[in-house]
Amino acid sequence: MTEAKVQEQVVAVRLLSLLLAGLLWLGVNLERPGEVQLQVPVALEHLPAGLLLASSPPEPVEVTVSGPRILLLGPWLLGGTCRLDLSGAQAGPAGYSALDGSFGLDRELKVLRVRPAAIRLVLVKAEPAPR
Amino acid sequence: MVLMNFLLQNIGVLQDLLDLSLTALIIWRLSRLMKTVLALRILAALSALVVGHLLARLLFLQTVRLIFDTFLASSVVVLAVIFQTDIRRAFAALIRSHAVKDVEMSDLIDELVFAVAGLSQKRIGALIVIERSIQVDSYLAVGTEIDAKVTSELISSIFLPYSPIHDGAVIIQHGKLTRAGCFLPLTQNLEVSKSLGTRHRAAMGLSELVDAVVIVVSEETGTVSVFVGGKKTTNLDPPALGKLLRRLVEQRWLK
Repeated sequence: MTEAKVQEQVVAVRLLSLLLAGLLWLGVNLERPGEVQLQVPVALEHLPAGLLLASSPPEPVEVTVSGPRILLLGPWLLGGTCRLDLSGAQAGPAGYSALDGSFGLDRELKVLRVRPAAIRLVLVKAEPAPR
Repeated sequence: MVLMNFLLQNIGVLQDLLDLSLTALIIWRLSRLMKTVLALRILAALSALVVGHLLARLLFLQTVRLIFDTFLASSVVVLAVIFQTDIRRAFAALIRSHAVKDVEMSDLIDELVFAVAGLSQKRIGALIVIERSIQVDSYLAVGTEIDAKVTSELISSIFLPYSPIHDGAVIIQHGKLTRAGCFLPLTQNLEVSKSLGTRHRAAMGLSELVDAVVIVVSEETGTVSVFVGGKKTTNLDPPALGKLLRRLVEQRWLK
Protein backbone atom coordinates (compact mmCIF):
# COMPACT_ATOMS: atom_id res chain seq x y z
CA MET A 1 0.00 0.00 0.00
CA THR A 2 1.40 3.40 -0.95
CA GLU A 3 2.06 6.15 1.57
CA ALA A 4 -0.55 8.36 -0.12
CA LYS A 5 -3.19 5.65 0.19
CA VAL A 6 -2.40 5.21 3.88
CA GLN A 7 -2.71 8.97 4.42
CA GLU A 8 -6.06 8.96 2.62
CA GLN A 9 -7.31 6.21 4.91
CA VAL A 10 -6.10 8.05 8.02
CA VAL A 11 -7.98 11.17 6.92
CA ALA A 12 -11.05 9.05 6.17
CA VAL A 13 -10.92 7.57 9.69
CA ARG A 14 -10.77 11.07 11.17
CA LEU A 15 -13.72 12.23 9.09
CA LEU A 16 -15.75 9.13 9.91
CA SER A 17 -14.94 9.56 13.61
CA LEU A 18 -16.27 13.10 13.40
CA LEU A 19 -19.32 11.94 11.46
CA LEU A 20 -20.11 9.18 13.95
CA ALA A 21 -19.59 11.60 16.85
CA GLY A 22 -21.94 14.06 15.14
CA LEU A 23 -24.56 11.39 14.60
CA LEU A 24 -24.32 10.19 18.19
CA TRP A 25 -24.53 13.75 19.45
CA LEU A 26 -27.53 14.36 17.20
CA GLY A 27 -29.18 11.15 18.40
CA VAL A 28 -28.69 12.07 22.05
CA ASN A 29 -29.85 15.67 21.61
CA LEU A 30 -32.90 14.71 19.58
CA GLU A 31 -34.00 12.48 22.47
CA ARG A 32 -34.03 15.47 24.83
CA PRO A 33 -37.53 16.73 25.65
CA GLY A 34 -38.92 19.63 23.66
CA GLU A 35 -42.19 21.40 23.00
CA VAL A 36 -44.02 22.36 19.85
CA GLN A 37 -47.18 24.40 19.22
CA LEU A 38 -49.55 23.40 16.45
CA GLN A 39 -52.79 24.52 14.91
CA VAL A 40 -54.87 21.37 14.61
CA PRO A 41 -58.22 21.15 12.75
CA VAL A 42 -61.17 19.60 14.58
CA ALA A 43 -62.96 16.68 12.97
CA LEU A 44 -66.42 15.64 14.20
CA GLU A 45 -66.96 11.90 14.12
CA HIS A 46 -69.87 9.53 14.73
CA LEU A 47 -72.54 12.22 14.67
CA PRO A 48 -75.74 10.34 15.58
CA ALA A 49 -78.28 9.98 12.81
CA GLY A 50 -80.99 12.61 12.98
CA LEU A 51 -78.76 15.29 14.49
CA LEU A 52 -77.25 18.25 12.71
CA LEU A 53 -74.62 20.78 13.71
CA ALA A 54 -76.41 24.09 14.21
CA SER A 55 -73.42 26.13 15.38
CA SER A 56 -70.53 27.13 13.14
CA PRO A 57 -67.89 24.41 12.60
CA PRO A 58 -65.28 24.48 15.36
CA GLU A 59 -62.15 26.53 14.73
CA PRO A 60 -58.76 24.75 14.74
CA VAL A 61 -57.39 24.33 18.24
CA GLU A 62 -53.90 25.34 19.36
CA VAL A 63 -52.12 22.37 20.91
CA THR A 64 -48.83 22.35 22.80
CA VAL A 65 -47.16 18.95 22.60
CA SER A 66 -44.08 17.83 24.54
CA GLY A 67 -41.83 14.81 24.08
CA PRO A 68 -38.55 13.74 22.49
CA ARG A 69 -37.52 16.31 19.89
CA ILE A 70 -37.07 13.68 17.19
CA LEU A 71 -40.75 12.75 17.46
CA LEU A 72 -41.75 16.41 17.34
CA LEU A 73 -40.02 16.65 13.94
CA GLY A 74 -42.06 13.74 12.61
CA PRO A 75 -44.29 14.23 9.59
CA TRP A 76 -47.37 13.15 11.56
CA LEU A 77 -47.55 16.69 12.91
CA LEU A 78 -48.49 18.03 9.47
CA GLY A 79 -51.57 15.83 9.31
CA GLY A 80 -52.60 15.95 12.97
CA THR A 81 -56.31 16.20 13.72
CA CYS A 82 -58.39 16.64 16.87
CA ARG A 83 -61.10 13.98 16.55
CA LEU A 84 -64.28 14.58 18.54
CA ASP A 85 -66.42 11.53 19.14
CA LEU A 86 -70.06 12.62 19.08
CA SER A 87 -71.57 9.13 19.32
CA GLY A 88 -73.35 9.86 22.63
CA ALA A 89 -74.42 13.40 21.70
CA GLN A 90 -77.96 14.67 22.07
CA ALA A 91 -79.76 17.67 20.64
CA GLY A 92 -78.91 20.98 22.32
CA PRO A 93 -75.73 22.81 23.33
CA ALA A 94 -72.80 20.60 24.36
CA GLY A 95 -69.27 21.29 25.60
CA TYR A 96 -66.33 18.99 24.98
CA SER A 97 -63.31 19.38 27.24
CA ALA A 98 -60.38 17.14 28.26
CA LEU A 99 -59.33 16.91 24.63
CA ASP A 100 -55.89 15.47 25.41
CA GLY A 101 -56.79 12.01 24.14
CA SER A 102 -58.37 13.28 20.92
CA PHE A 103 -55.15 13.72 18.97
CA GLY A 104 -54.06 10.10 18.51
CA LEU A 105 -50.49 10.83 19.59
CA ASP A 106 -47.66 8.38 20.12
CA ARG A 107 -47.47 7.34 23.76
CA GLU A 108 -44.11 9.12 24.13
CA LEU A 109 -45.77 12.45 23.29
CA LYS A 110 -47.84 14.39 25.77
CA VAL A 111 -50.39 17.15 25.23
CA LEU A 112 -49.51 20.00 27.59
CA ARG A 113 -52.14 22.59 26.64
CA VAL A 114 -55.12 22.90 24.32
CA ARG A 115 -56.59 26.29 23.47
CA PRO A 116 -59.48 26.67 23.69
CA ALA A 117 -59.72 24.12 26.50
CA ALA A 118 -63.27 23.20 25.51
CA ILE A 119 -65.19 23.09 22.25
CA ARG A 120 -68.79 24.16 22.28
CA LEU A 121 -71.25 22.80 19.75
CA VAL A 122 -74.96 23.13 19.24
CA LEU A 123 -76.71 20.12 17.80
CA VAL A 124 -80.30 20.10 16.59
CA LYS A 125 -82.63 17.42 15.43
CA ALA A 126 -82.84 17.26 11.72
CA GLU A 127 -86.29 18.27 10.37
CA PRO A 128 -87.87 15.49 8.37
CA ALA A 129 -88.01 16.41 4.75
CA PRO A 130 -91.49 17.81 3.75
CA ARG A 131 -93.57 15.45 1.64
CA MET B 1 -15.58 41.12 31.08
CA VAL B 2 -16.70 41.06 27.46
CA LEU B 3 -15.26 37.59 27.08
CA MET B 4 -17.03 36.47 30.25
CA ASN B 5 -20.35 37.82 28.98
CA PHE B 6 -19.80 36.12 25.64
CA LEU B 7 -19.05 32.81 27.37
CA LEU B 8 -22.10 33.09 29.60
CA GLN B 9 -24.36 33.97 26.69
CA ASN B 10 -23.09 31.09 24.57
CA ILE B 11 -22.56 28.49 27.28
CA GLY B 12 -24.99 26.08 25.62
CA VAL B 13 -23.23 26.25 22.26
CA LEU B 14 -19.84 25.88 23.91
CA GLN B 15 -21.07 22.84 25.87
CA ASP B 16 -22.37 21.26 22.67
CA LEU B 17 -19.09 21.95 20.86
CA LEU B 18 -17.11 20.48 23.75
CA ASP B 19 -19.41 17.45 23.89
CA LEU B 20 -19.08 16.85 20.15
CA SER B 21 -15.32 17.37 20.12
CA LEU B 22 -14.68 15.03 23.04
CA THR B 23 -16.91 12.35 21.53
CA ALA B 24 -15.06 12.61 18.21
CA LEU B 25 -11.72 12.48 20.03
CA ILE B 26 -12.70 9.34 21.99
CA ILE B 27 -13.94 7.59 18.84
CA TRP B 28 -10.82 8.59 16.92
CA ARG B 29 -8.50 7.40 19.72
CA LEU B 30 -10.34 4.08 19.93
CA SER B 31 -10.21 3.66 16.15
CA ARG B 32 -6.43 4.21 16.23
CA LEU B 33 -6.11 1.03 18.27
CA MET B 34 -7.27 -0.93 15.23
CA LYS B 35 -5.94 -1.34 11.73
CA THR B 36 -6.95 1.63 9.57
CA VAL B 37 -8.96 -0.42 7.07
CA LEU B 38 -10.77 -2.21 9.88
CA ALA B 39 -11.48 1.06 11.69
CA LEU B 40 -12.93 2.50 8.47
CA ARG B 41 -15.32 -0.42 8.11
CA ILE B 42 -16.43 -0.36 11.72
CA LEU B 43 -16.95 3.41 11.75
CA ALA B 44 -18.93 3.27 8.50
CA ALA B 45 -21.09 0.41 9.79
CA LEU B 46 -21.79 2.16 13.09
CA SER B 47 -22.61 5.43 11.30
CA ALA B 48 -25.06 3.59 9.04
CA LEU B 49 -26.71 1.98 12.07
CA VAL B 50 -27.12 5.31 13.85
CA VAL B 51 -28.54 6.95 10.69
CA GLY B 52 -30.95 4.02 10.30
CA HIS B 53 -32.03 4.32 13.92
CA LEU B 54 -32.63 8.06 13.61
CA LEU B 55 -34.64 7.72 10.39
CA ALA B 56 -36.73 4.88 11.81
CA ARG B 57 -37.46 6.92 14.91
CA LEU B 58 -38.26 10.05 12.91
CA LEU B 59 -40.65 8.22 10.60
CA PHE B 60 -42.25 6.07 13.35
CA LEU B 61 -41.11 2.85 11.67
CA GLN B 62 -41.37 0.73 14.79
CA THR B 63 -40.25 -2.61 13.34
CA VAL B 64 -37.30 -1.14 11.48
CA ARG B 65 -36.42 0.77 14.63
CA LEU B 66 -36.51 -2.46 16.63
CA ILE B 67 -34.06 -4.05 14.16
CA PHE B 68 -31.66 -1.09 14.23
CA ASP B 69 -31.90 -0.78 18.01
CA THR B 70 -31.13 -4.47 18.41
CA PHE B 71 -28.13 -4.19 16.10
CA LEU B 72 -26.90 -1.06 17.85
CA ALA B 73 -27.33 -2.54 21.31
CA SER B 74 -25.54 -5.75 20.39
CA SER B 75 -22.93 -4.09 18.18
CA VAL B 76 -20.40 -3.95 21.00
CA VAL B 77 -20.64 -7.71 21.59
CA VAL B 78 -20.75 -8.51 17.87
CA LEU B 79 -17.70 -6.34 17.17
CA ALA B 80 -15.88 -7.87 20.13
CA VAL B 81 -16.49 -11.38 18.77
CA ILE B 82 -15.66 -10.59 15.14
CA PHE B 83 -12.57 -8.51 15.86
CA GLN B 84 -11.34 -10.27 18.99
CA THR B 85 -7.80 -10.57 17.67
CA ASP B 86 -7.55 -6.87 16.92
CA ILE B 87 -9.13 -5.91 20.21
CA ARG B 88 -6.76 -8.18 22.10
CA ARG B 89 -3.91 -6.49 20.28
CA ALA B 90 -5.32 -3.07 21.09
CA PHE B 91 -5.62 -3.85 24.79
CA ALA B 92 -2.16 -5.34 24.81
CA ALA B 93 -0.89 -2.08 23.34
CA LEU B 94 -2.13 -0.28 26.43
CA ILE B 95 0.25 -2.27 28.59
CA ARG B 96 3.59 -0.57 28.48
CA SER B 97 6.79 -1.81 29.94
CA HIS B 98 8.65 0.46 32.32
CA ALA B 99 12.10 -1.10 32.37
CA VAL B 100 14.78 1.54 32.63
CA LYS B 101 17.82 0.03 30.99
CA ASP B 102 19.46 2.33 28.50
CA VAL B 103 20.41 0.78 25.22
CA GLU B 104 22.15 2.33 22.30
CA MET B 105 19.68 1.65 19.52
CA SER B 106 22.23 2.22 16.84
CA ASP B 107 24.57 -0.39 18.32
CA LEU B 108 21.79 -2.91 18.63
CA ILE B 109 20.70 -2.48 15.02
CA ASP B 110 24.28 -2.64 13.81
CA GLU B 111 24.78 -5.92 15.72
CA LEU B 112 21.56 -7.32 14.29
CA VAL B 113 22.40 -6.31 10.73
CA PHE B 114 25.90 -7.74 11.05
CA ALA B 115 24.59 -11.04 12.42
CA VAL B 116 21.86 -11.32 9.80
CA ALA B 117 24.29 -10.52 7.00
CA GLY B 118 26.63 -13.27 8.19
CA LEU B 119 23.82 -15.80 8.53
CA SER B 120 22.45 -14.86 5.11
CA GLN B 121 25.85 -15.28 3.52
CA LYS B 122 26.23 -18.75 5.03
CA ARG B 123 22.58 -19.62 4.27
CA ILE B 124 21.79 -20.36 7.87
CA GLY B 125 18.10 -19.95 8.67
CA ALA B 126 17.22 -17.44 11.40
CA LEU B 127 14.18 -15.95 13.02
CA ILE B 128 14.57 -12.81 15.14
CA VAL B 129 11.71 -11.02 16.92
CA ILE B 130 12.07 -7.42 18.09
CA GLU B 131 9.30 -6.57 20.52
CA ARG B 132 7.82 -3.10 20.17
CA SER B 133 4.86 -1.71 22.14
CA ILE B 134 2.90 -4.98 22.44
CA GLN B 135 4.32 -7.73 24.63
CA VAL B 136 4.93 -10.98 22.80
CA ASP B 137 5.30 -13.28 25.82
CA SER B 138 1.80 -14.72 25.67
CA TYR B 139 2.31 -15.82 22.04
CA LEU B 140 5.55 -17.71 22.58
CA ALA B 141 5.86 -21.42 23.18
CA VAL B 142 8.81 -23.36 24.61
CA GLY B 143 12.01 -21.29 24.48
CA THR B 144 15.04 -20.88 26.67
CA GLU B 145 15.51 -17.80 28.79
CA ILE B 146 18.78 -16.02 28.10
CA ASP B 147 18.81 -12.37 29.19
CA ALA B 148 21.95 -11.23 27.39
CA LYS B 149 23.21 -8.21 25.52
CA VAL B 150 22.48 -8.36 21.80
CA THR B 151 25.68 -9.16 19.94
CA SER B 152 26.18 -10.48 16.45
CA GLU B 153 28.34 -13.33 17.79
CA LEU B 154 25.64 -14.50 20.19
CA ILE B 155 22.91 -14.39 17.53
CA SER B 156 25.09 -16.18 15.00
CA SER B 157 26.01 -18.89 17.46
CA ILE B 158 22.39 -19.49 18.46
CA PHE B 159 21.40 -20.18 14.85
CA LEU B 160 24.32 -22.44 13.99
CA PRO B 161 22.87 -25.80 12.94
CA TYR B 162 24.49 -27.74 15.80
CA SER B 163 23.12 -25.38 18.44
CA PRO B 164 20.34 -27.03 20.50
CA ILE B 165 18.22 -23.89 20.30
CA HIS B 166 18.79 -23.03 16.64
CA ASP B 167 15.35 -24.25 15.56
CA GLY B 168 13.19 -21.40 16.82
CA ALA B 169 13.08 -17.66 17.24
CA VAL B 170 15.21 -15.38 19.36
CA ILE B 171 13.33 -12.65 21.16
CA ILE B 172 14.66 -9.16 21.76
CA GLN B 173 12.79 -7.26 24.45
CA HIS B 174 13.75 -3.86 25.80
CA GLY B 175 17.02 -3.99 23.93
CA LYS B 176 18.12 -7.34 25.39
CA LEU B 177 18.11 -10.84 24.00
CA THR B 178 15.72 -12.50 26.44
CA ARG B 179 14.80 -15.85 24.91
CA ALA B 180 15.85 -18.26 22.18
CA GLY B 181 14.42 -21.41 20.59
CA CYS B 182 10.86 -20.05 20.85
CA PHE B 183 8.06 -21.40 18.67
CA LEU B 184 5.78 -18.74 17.22
CA PRO B 185 2.13 -19.02 16.15
CA LEU B 186 1.85 -19.80 12.43
CA THR B 187 -0.21 -17.55 10.19
CA GLN B 188 -3.81 -18.62 9.59
CA ASN B 189 -3.97 -16.61 6.38
CA LEU B 190 -5.19 -18.98 3.64
CA GLU B 191 -4.02 -16.65 0.89
CA VAL B 192 -0.37 -17.18 1.74
CA SER B 193 1.64 -18.99 -0.92
CA LYS B 194 2.14 -22.68 -0.24
CA SER B 195 5.80 -22.26 -1.05
CA LEU B 196 6.27 -20.14 2.08
CA GLY B 197 8.25 -22.12 4.65
CA THR B 198 7.43 -22.67 8.31
CA ARG B 199 9.91 -20.02 9.48
CA HIS B 200 8.25 -17.39 7.27
CA ARG B 201 4.77 -18.56 8.29
CA ALA B 202 5.75 -18.20 11.93
CA ALA B 203 7.12 -14.71 11.31
CA MET B 204 3.95 -13.69 9.54
CA GLY B 205 1.75 -15.30 12.20
CA LEU B 206 3.33 -13.40 15.09
CA SER B 207 3.42 -10.11 13.20
CA GLU B 208 -0.32 -10.46 12.55
CA LEU B 209 -0.99 -10.71 16.28
CA VAL B 210 1.40 -8.12 17.68
CA ASP B 211 3.30 -5.10 16.37
CA ALA B 212 6.69 -6.80 16.66
CA VAL B 213 9.28 -6.59 13.89
CA VAL B 214 10.27 -10.08 12.79
CA ILE B 215 13.43 -10.72 10.75
CA VAL B 216 13.72 -13.95 8.79
CA VAL B 217 16.77 -15.38 7.04
CA SER B 218 15.83 -18.05 4.53
CA GLU B 219 17.78 -21.28 4.89
CA GLU B 220 17.26 -22.15 1.20
CA THR B 221 18.12 -18.86 -0.46
CA GLY B 222 19.75 -16.74 2.23
CA THR B 223 17.16 -14.02 1.51
CA VAL B 224 16.47 -11.59 4.34
CA SER B 225 12.86 -10.58 4.95
CA VAL B 226 11.16 -8.41 7.55
CA PHE B 227 7.54 -8.94 8.66
CA VAL B 228 5.49 -6.19 10.27
CA GLY B 229 1.70 -6.29 10.70
CA GLY B 230 1.51 -9.45 8.58
CA LYS B 231 3.23 -7.72 5.65
CA LYS B 232 6.54 -8.88 4.23
CA THR B 233 9.43 -6.79 2.94
CA THR B 234 11.92 -9.08 1.27
CA ASN B 235 15.29 -9.21 -0.52
CA LEU B 236 16.88 -6.81 1.93
CA ASP B 237 20.61 -6.24 1.73
CA PRO B 238 22.40 -5.15 4.94
CA PRO B 239 22.11 -1.37 4.32
CA ALA B 240 18.43 -1.68 3.44
CA LEU B 241 17.83 -3.85 6.51
CA GLY B 242 19.57 -1.32 8.74
CA LYS B 243 17.58 1.55 7.24
CA LEU B 244 14.31 -0.32 7.63
CA LEU B 245 15.04 -1.30 11.24
CA ARG B 246 15.96 2.28 12.15
CA ARG B 247 12.61 3.36 10.73
CA LEU B 248 10.61 0.63 12.49
CA VAL B 249 12.29 0.40 15.88
CA GLU B 250 12.17 3.40 18.18
CA GLN B 251 14.40 4.06 21.16
CA ARG B 252 11.48 3.88 23.62
CA TRP B 253 10.89 0.20 22.82
CA LEU B 254 14.44 -0.66 23.72
CA LYS B 255 14.33 0.77 27.24
